[in-house]
Order: sequence, then C-alpha cells, then structure tokens
Amino acid sequence: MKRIDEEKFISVYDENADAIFRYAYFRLYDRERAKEVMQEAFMKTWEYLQSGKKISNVRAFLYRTAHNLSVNEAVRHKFFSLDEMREVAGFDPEEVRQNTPDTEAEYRLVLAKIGELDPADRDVLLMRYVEGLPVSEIAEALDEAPNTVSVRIHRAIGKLRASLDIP
Amino acid sequence: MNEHKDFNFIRERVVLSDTEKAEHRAALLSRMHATPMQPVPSPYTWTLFLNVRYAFVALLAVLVVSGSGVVVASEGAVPGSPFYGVKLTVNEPTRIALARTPKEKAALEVAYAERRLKEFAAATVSNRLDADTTKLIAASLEDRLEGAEENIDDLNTSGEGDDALEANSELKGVLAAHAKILRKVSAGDPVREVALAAISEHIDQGIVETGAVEPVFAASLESQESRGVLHASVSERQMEVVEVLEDLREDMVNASTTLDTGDHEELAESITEVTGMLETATREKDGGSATRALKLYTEADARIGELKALIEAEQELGIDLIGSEE
Repeated sequence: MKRIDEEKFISVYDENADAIFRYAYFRLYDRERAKEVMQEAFMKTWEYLQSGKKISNVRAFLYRTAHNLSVNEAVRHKFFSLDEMREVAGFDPEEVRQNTPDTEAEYRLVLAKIGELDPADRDVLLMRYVEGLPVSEIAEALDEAPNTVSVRIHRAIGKLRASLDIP
Repeated sequence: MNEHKDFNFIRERVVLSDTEKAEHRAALLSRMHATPMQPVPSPYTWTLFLNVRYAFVALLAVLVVSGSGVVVASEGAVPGSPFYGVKLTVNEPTRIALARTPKEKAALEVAYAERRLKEFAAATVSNRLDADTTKLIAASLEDRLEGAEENIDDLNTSGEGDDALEANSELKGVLAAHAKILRKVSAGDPVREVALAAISEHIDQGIVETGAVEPVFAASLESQESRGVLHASVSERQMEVVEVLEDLREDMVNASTTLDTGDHEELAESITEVTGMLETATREKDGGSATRALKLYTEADARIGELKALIEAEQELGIDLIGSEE
C-alpha cells in the first residue's frame, strides 16, 4: 500500500474493524480489551504508513499487528481460566438472538470447543472460515509458509470435528 | 460439517455494535489528526526479539520485515528484475533463519525450492532467462535443497519421524513434478536445454537423496512404534490426505477447459492408483500397523502433490504436461 490518505484509511477501518475485533476477541475473550486492541492495531498501522513505509497487504498487516498486541495483552493479563473462557464464549443472554434453544445450545457448544483449541489452531480456523481469508493471505499475516497454514487448517478442523463428535 | 456455512453465526454475533464502531471510528480519526509524522517500528519486530540470536541475522531481519524499500520491493521480484537477487539471497534466507523449529524451517525450504522451480519454468517459457539468472537460480535451489534436507534430518533425529517422512515426500513430489515440467518446456531448444542442465543436476540429486532417506525415516517410525512412543496420529494423516485428494478433484474440475481427453484419462488413472494406495493404507491402519499406514498415506500425498503441480503448470505455462510422452 502506498502513502494513504485519511479517507481511504477510514474506509479500511470500516471494512476490517469487525474482523480485527473478532481476531482479538478470540485471543483475549474480553470484549473491552479486544476493542482496545482493534483500535490500537489500526492506529499503529496508520502511524506506520505515516512514517513513509509501504505495506503490500494492509489487511494482513492489521492481522499481524493485532496478533502481536493480543499476545502482549494476554501475557500481561492472564485473568481468565478455561471455564471462564467457555462461559464468555457463550455471550451475554441479552445478546442472544431469535434462536431455538437447541440452536442456541449448539452455538454455545461450538464456541466453547473453539475456545478450547490451541490459539494457533483457532487463529487459522477463524481467519479461513469466519473471515474467508485465502490461505496465501493467512500465511502472509502469520508469516508462515502456505503449506504449513493449509495443514494447520485441516488439523484444526479435524480437532474441532473430533471434539464435537462429528465424523 | 460445512465450515463456511456453519461458522457464519460467529461473524453475525461477534461483532461491534454500530455505536461501538462509530465511537472507535471517531477516536481513531481524532488520534490520526494528532499523530506527528515520525518513524514507527514495524510490528513484525515483536517476533524479532524472540528468535534472533545473531546481530547479522537481526539486521537482515529488520531489512526484510520492517519494510525497507529494496527488500520489500524484492518480495515479488521475478527472474530478470533488478531485485530478484535480493529476494533469493536476503529475504528468503532471513525468513528461514527466523523460523523457530526444524519443521517450520523445512516447510519454508521446501516452499522456496518449489518457488524457484516455478520461477525457472515461467522464465524459460517467456524467454527471460540469461546466464546470470540461471546461475542465481541454480545456486539458490542448491541452498534450499541442502537446507531442506538438513532440517528434515533434524526432524528425524529429534524423534519426529512422521514429520520428516512427510516433508521428505513433499520435497520428492515437488522435484519429480518439476523434473517433468522442465524437461517439457526445454525440449528441442538447445539454449533452454543448456540452462536446464544447470538446474537438473540439483533436481536429480534431490530425487535420489529424498528416495534414499525414505527407508531410514520409515525405520525410525517402526522403531518408535515398537517402543510405543509413536506420536503421529494416523487418523489425522488419513484425513489430511483425503482432503488433499478432494482438492485435486476440485482442481481438475476448475481446470476442465485446459485439460484434454488424454489429460483426463491419465488423471483418472492416477486418482485410481492413489485411491488404491489409500485403501491399502487404511487396511494397514485397521490392522494395527501405524508405520506402514503412515508411509502409504505420505506416498499418496506426495503423488497427489505432484499431480496438482502438473495441473497448475499446464494451466499457467500453457503446455501439455499430463498425458504426454516423456
């Protein structure tokens, strides 16, 4: 990405804010901290561009920045247990949409099982299937070889299926 | 389970509210206006301190990952471009040096070796090769193959025989596919054949060496299995290979316009052969021989990788590679 103007960068924010927030959320399991990380990731990216540097893929750069900030944040605040993660993975009751109890239970179970995956597996799974990023872009964001990412995605799906008893 | 569809609810539910988004947008704009123009370190440097042990590597790493002009420009460089040498001698070796484990390093070495072979094939077809570029590619290929073999050996000696076998087979498949591709693109053209000779030496040696170490890795796995310390999951491996086979079928469908009848017949024959290998592997798995099953799954995976590489090359280079005479 060449030097970018303010308007264009804000459009990048509009397009990617939710995705970067989700990425941080599934690292931290804390909505407020995830919002802070999201804000900081955009700010650091803006500062980086303003310093005259170029970014070939701004979305991959944002993920990379959010990843680093989330890891730092998680190290600083090891405040949640696995049970707490499972709890928050289900979200607040007031946010529950118009779903049947069975569907709601299923959603909570899937989210809880995703929460139990290794962070590295969770990252690739969410980036691939929730955000729809191509393998090449995930590889760029995580600074991994595409083959490594492909294998990790397959393994993550395998683990999730196994944990959900899906053949 | 349809992952794309089944995970849609996450996108719908883990989301910023309109108010939150607007508030953060306003805050971001406010901070953007207040930000003076000054150099900011790359977020990539965060990983630097965890991995880099040597100042020289650190310097190269900063150049590669922090956005230094020449190094960034070289990332997408192709043979013949001014920055191609930087990519081969600075960017890629630095990324390999930054990888944390032999497994990651081996994966990068194999990926870069494959990249080199693809670049060589594309440059040959478009007549962009000169003596210097050929020499550069040959030297880089030699380095990547040596690095791959060293890291694969490390994997085996550190008790990860299954990963060693997998990476070795992948490398063997890459080399076998490109031996065929490069012979085809160079055939009948004396200039191209001279250039190919410089590369073929390394490809042929790599094929021999990857074939020679397979029994060694298989023996390591057998030893681990007999001692009850085999870490590999045969079921996971089985699932991976079945998924890769599905990918191959998808590739065939997507490439249907460029594949002729002969291509389809040969691919169908190859898929039948691979399916047979998978069935045998599954019988071995069910019969309790994890090592033999892993070996067969890995061989099938490498064969599928080779077929995928041929389909991709046929599409990109516009030459008939499948179903053609050697």
